[in-house]
Amino acid sequence: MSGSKRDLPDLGVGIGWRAELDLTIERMAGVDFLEVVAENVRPADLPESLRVLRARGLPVVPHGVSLGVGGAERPSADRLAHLAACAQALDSPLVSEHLAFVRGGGMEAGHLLPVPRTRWSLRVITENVRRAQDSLPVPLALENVAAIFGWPDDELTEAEFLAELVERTGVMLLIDVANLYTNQFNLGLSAVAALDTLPLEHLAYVHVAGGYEHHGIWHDTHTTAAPQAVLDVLSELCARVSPSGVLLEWDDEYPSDAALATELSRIRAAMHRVGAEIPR
Amino acid sequence: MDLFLLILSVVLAAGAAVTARAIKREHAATRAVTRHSRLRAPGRYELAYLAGGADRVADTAVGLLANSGDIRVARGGRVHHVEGARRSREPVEETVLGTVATHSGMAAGSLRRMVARSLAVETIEQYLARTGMIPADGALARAERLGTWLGALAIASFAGAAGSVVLLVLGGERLLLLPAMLVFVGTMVTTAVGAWWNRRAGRGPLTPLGQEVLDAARRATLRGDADLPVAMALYGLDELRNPGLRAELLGVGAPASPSRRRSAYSRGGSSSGSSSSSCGAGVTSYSCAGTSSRYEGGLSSCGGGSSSCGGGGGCGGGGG
Repeated sequence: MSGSKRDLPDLGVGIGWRAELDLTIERMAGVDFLEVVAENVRPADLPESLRVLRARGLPVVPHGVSLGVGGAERPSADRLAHLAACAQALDSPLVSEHLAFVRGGGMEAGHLLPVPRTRWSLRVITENVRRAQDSLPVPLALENVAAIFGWPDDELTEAEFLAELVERTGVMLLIDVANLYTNQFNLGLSAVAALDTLPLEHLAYVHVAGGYEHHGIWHDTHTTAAPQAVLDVLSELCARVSPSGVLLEWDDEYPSDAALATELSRIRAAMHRVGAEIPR
Repeated sequence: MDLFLLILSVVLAAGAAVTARAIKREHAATRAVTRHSRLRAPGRYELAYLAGGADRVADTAVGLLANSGDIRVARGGRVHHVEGARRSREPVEETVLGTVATHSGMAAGSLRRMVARSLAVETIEQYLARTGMIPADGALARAERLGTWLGALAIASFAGAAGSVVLLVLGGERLLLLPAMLVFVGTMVTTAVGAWWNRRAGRGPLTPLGQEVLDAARRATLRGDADLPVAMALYGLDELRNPGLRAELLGVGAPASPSRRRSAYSRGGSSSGSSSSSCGAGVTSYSCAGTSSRYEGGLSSCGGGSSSCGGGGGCGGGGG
């Protein structure tokens, strides 16, 4: 199922639901929507917290991490069925996944690896995405990944690749500005140039997260406050398009409720602060 | 024989009197220590101990830290470490923070049990004993031994009284046996009552001073008082005003999220693919963070944020 931004409800500012944060999120003001890692929930037995939050009317987006649409193999019917069941159980407006290569020849990569960005792989991935869309009851959004390497025969940038994919399939975009920043930091790929290339009219929502630099490499760990540079990319994005939603990802080393609330406020401020100057 | 019984009754009565006086001295000595060595007004955790023992101390520390957000309680009563939580000057609170830091995600009940058995709580106990608010360990051991001896005297007196009655029936010397019987009965009754009192007096967790201090604190701080730390110390976790927190800590909340029960989906920090990174502590949810995320086979797959990967170096691949 394809979709465009106008098909989506206004999601607002949200946070990734994690079991550790369930009560925190339930009592936190200013959370407009949620995202839950699809592999962490069973549609038939949703966590009580998600039921509570859904009952309050908060949209919940299942976010898959294991589908692997970027592989040579077709997406697993079971994984797709699970994503679809999550979307139905949560009455979600869309589901999201990664444009990533995760397995091949029966081997699991253990990472969300960048796909080889060639015309040939574009054809394969286009077919994978179409199959995924056909199996899902709601639109699918694909997320750009953070990488610390690129394949040697790449013909397209990630933004160009995604733009082509959107054109061919109508798939929506989940833009992770922290991943854009990571790729800029580690690979010298301009985040602004990516924003210029991406078809932002197909933007579903945005991810924001923190990380840290270690030995000259940026690690997008989702364990710290987003650096100002990441928020600057968000501002830059918001100068181009008004995203339906922006979501904070925090996956470990959880700080206090107050710190998380502050992070949501920083995101809101960045969304309204357009024209931030960031290096191209 | 009649004379022997009379002499025996007097000896038992004398023994009972000496023992009872010794027991009284033991109890008085416990109270006397108290009055003299009282050092300062009791703090919240000392009051908690007086109100509910080691368990209440643990409950109070866990409840207060959860209420202040220095530890995080999730559904299912799981208690999680909060990054950047403040340090505490209270040893019991430091114990809670330290335990949660190393066992993040542990059940609240287990945490409370660990804290209740901690050195910090033991130190409070020792202080209260030293200041005479609770009986010191072994302080009444001699009184207990004497109480046993008093019980034995009661039994012997009963036997003597019975023997006296038998001899009286058989026509013994009334002038000797009647006083003997009366002394036996009197000794039996007083020793039995004394043994009962001794056991009762030694059973209470607080000394009279401890009870006095506790009563005064309860008069000063009623249930629902704005002074949450003291109210929680005196009355327990019911004083927590956050209903979700209260339910989870008291173990009456909803069951844990399925994602926590399902380890296949939930790996805490992990090693990344082929390249290294050792990761620590008990994260229970699954994530796809950054450059060191992990991806496993099966439906569960990509797990563990890299946060627990020390410096993050050596983790390959990409992240979403």
